[in-house]
Amino acid sequence: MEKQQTPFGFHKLIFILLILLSVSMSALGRDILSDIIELKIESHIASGGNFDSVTVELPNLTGKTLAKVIEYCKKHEESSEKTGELSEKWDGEFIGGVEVGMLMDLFLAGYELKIKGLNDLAASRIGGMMLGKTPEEIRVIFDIKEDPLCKKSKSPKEGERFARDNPWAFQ
Amino acid sequence: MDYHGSSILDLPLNIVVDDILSSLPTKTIIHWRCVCWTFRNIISDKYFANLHLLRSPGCLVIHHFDVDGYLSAYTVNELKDKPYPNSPQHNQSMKFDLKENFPRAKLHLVCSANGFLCLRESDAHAVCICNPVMPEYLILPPPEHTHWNIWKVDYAFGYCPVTGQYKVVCLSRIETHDPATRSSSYKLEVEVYTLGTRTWRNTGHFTHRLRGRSGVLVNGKIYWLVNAEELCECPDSKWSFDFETELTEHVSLPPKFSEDVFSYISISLGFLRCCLCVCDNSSYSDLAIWVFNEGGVWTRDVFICKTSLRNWPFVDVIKHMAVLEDGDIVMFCAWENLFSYNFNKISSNHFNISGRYFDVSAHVTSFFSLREFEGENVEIF
Repeated sequence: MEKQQTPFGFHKLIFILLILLSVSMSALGRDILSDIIELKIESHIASGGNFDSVTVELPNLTGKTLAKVIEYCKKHEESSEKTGELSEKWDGEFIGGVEVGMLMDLFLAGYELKIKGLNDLAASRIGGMMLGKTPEEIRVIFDIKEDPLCKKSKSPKEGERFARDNPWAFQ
Repeated sequence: MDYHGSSILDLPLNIVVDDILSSLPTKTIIHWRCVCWTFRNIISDKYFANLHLLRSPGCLVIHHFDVDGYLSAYTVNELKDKPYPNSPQHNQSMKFDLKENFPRAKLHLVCSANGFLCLRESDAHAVCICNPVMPEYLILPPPEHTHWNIWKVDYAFGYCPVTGQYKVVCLSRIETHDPATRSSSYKLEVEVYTLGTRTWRNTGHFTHRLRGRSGVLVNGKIYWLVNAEELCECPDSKWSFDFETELTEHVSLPPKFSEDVFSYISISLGFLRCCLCVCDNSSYSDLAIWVFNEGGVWTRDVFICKTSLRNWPFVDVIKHMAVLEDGDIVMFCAWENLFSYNFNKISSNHFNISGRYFDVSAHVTSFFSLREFEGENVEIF
């Protein structure tokens, strides 16, 4: 689109954004922050939007989650400056120490903020928590209250089939 | 009330499927499916089935036989982390007991394609297509002109990526002897069944004697070696059936085999890195795998020096091959040996499988439903 024609709009936008962002948000580091803004604007242009009216929606994160995201980003920035490689051990301890609800928030934050490392780390942790678990155990771990047999069951027969589905076929 | 974070049910479905679910082992996904209706609907979606198939690691199906030689059960083992991931802490193998589901059936496994297994029943001329993961099956009507003797009938099952159709091929050996002229004739009658149509079509016949009962399915074509008797006349041939065009054609073997008739006896067809391959285990000193590239050129892809390895089965026919993510090649040899070969460490590995009588074939698991084939009568195990 007409990127050259609206330089003023672009700068104004960045300026406003920087003011609006909280202090803790800027601790994410300039690279990540500008990446987020750039990505949001790109997608806005791609969908045919106007520069003067860009609104950037930042993911709905709680202070706790944001603190964790920042902890992750800071650690990774430090370690990549020092040694050039990231510590898998630190990653494991970091993700292993959070509760399920927080894990979901971190996964979502990693996705929304396009922090691929965090997204992958959380995804593999969630996947790992399911390995070798029975349906009942998965329901407990992820606190799923929805009961397959009573609610939303389309017919009693289908519910019955659902219940015996897997353990019956595979031992 | 304190905020304890999001629930897994609050996450956007697309990222749950893309980032978490599609790379989990099949067994875990099956358990996941039973957790609640939301999860079940995700798994039933065709988008998920397609994505899962793309990311699905190869599997080995181990067929367990009963004392009469019929299929009694099979186990599906994913080849992701370990060649034979049957360690107690991480057991991802799935056992499917056929004796429980089909108590009196005399079953053989024909072939598998995209997670569907094709089974044949010896007494009733019946062919069954099933997806044990779903768990659904359907039984095909019997072919029209098939031979009455079940041992003279062979089946093949395959998928055509171009048309998206699944087809079953029935090959009946018809031998006639004329006492007046003392001549005998032989032909294989070919009948084709496309899943969803409920009819068999006769697509002609041909006159070759196939070696082995099951062919190798590669990219929409199925290949058989032609029997050694035929070899005298036509030394370097094998035969293929194209699931798209339904035509048959001859394909030459690597030049080596047209000169050396003896080595032809201990070669086998296989599937390696998306290509057809020929495994030559006739020499005492080495094993060679020739790969048939897309341009129709044979290249010698793998060469293993057997003398440096212990416990290597000598000149038996290699029946099946699969390549693992770390580059190991898993091979199954006649006389019930399953072993893998590692190129980096130059070592071979044997696997112990419980039960005495077994066979092995390649497989992928999938979450495709047989209900996609309208007109078929799909049953649930």
